[in-house]
Amino acid sequence: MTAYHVAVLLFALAGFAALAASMEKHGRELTGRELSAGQRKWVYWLGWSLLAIALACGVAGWRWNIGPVVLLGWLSVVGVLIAFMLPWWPLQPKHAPRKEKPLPQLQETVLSLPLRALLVLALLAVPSWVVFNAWKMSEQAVLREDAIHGKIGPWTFVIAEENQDGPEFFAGKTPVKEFHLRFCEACDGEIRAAYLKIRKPRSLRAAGLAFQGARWTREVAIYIPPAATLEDQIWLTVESKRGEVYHQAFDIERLSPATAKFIKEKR
Amino acid sequence: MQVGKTFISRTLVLLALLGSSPAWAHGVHIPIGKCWTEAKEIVCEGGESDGHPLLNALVEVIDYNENMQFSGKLDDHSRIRFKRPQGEFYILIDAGPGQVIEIDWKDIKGV
Repeated sequence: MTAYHVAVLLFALAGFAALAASMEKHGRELTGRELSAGQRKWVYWLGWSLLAIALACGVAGWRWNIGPVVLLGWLSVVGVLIAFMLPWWPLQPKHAPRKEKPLPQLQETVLSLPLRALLVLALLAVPSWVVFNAWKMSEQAVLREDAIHGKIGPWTFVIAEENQDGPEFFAGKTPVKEFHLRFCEACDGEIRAAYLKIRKPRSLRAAGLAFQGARWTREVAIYIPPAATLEDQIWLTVESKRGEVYHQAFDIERLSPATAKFIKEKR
Repeated sequence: MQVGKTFISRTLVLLALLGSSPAWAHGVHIPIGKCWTEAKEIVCEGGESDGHPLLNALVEVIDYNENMQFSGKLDDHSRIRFKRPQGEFYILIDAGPGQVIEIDWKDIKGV
């Protein structure tokens, strides 16, 4: 894979450099001399051919879906590299220092202190906020210590609240809480659907909202009924592809202490 | 100072955009519903968690002995109105397989 990366990088670099050289101004800067129109046309098509080869390398390494993306990634790197390298390129013709009248000194804009403080604060706050959220998102709920490991029917599973905060509110103050569920690797294929709700299900149809997700971890958001109590518990219903149905109840305090607190304070 | 003003307004807009949590909220998309009483009738309103209405969803009112008391569909305003059944009951708003929400009589204001 490294070889493919290097190939894409080098061909992209060569392609962009050739394209730059095919332009009148940049050609002069890169080669240090004037290129004829015929030469420039030739270099122009050389540049595109090299880019096509870079694309071919990408596709050879990663097929048509990822290959072009890899090429675009390297093109960005190469483009920035060439743009910032041009002013320092040793071959460019030396200019005679210009004789110019000194321009009137522009008044420097000085921002007021509160404004500067705000900007500095934003510079610190925004990245740390982004990093904090990225860290929070990367945490897999079912791998946390508070996740519940259990067995329902013949299948083992792990269930956990998505985050340890209280319910979120949607569409006019409806409290909603999200949960993640993961079955054992061998079990996963045998499960048709899993449902979750607060209160004991009265029928399979009323078993709650179904866990969704094409990936291994299934996710669901359930709403907290206005009259919910801690005794209602959270009920997991699992329906297998063979038609078996199993129920299991969890104490709200165990599965989501913050939701339990919310329910207690609501009453 | 003109530069400063443009700059600060842009910065503030950017911060506001970054800080607005709905923009970053991940896709919770579930049916929700609430019911309340009006005289001797019960009115239920369905909807989706993102604020969209839930049109034409099937609504069933079932008593605790699993007998259907009423069945209908949400109207153009995502609402439905029916006579309060006797005894204990629950309401199902059916927005599709696995998307069925239950509203117990205990959850209804004023019953």
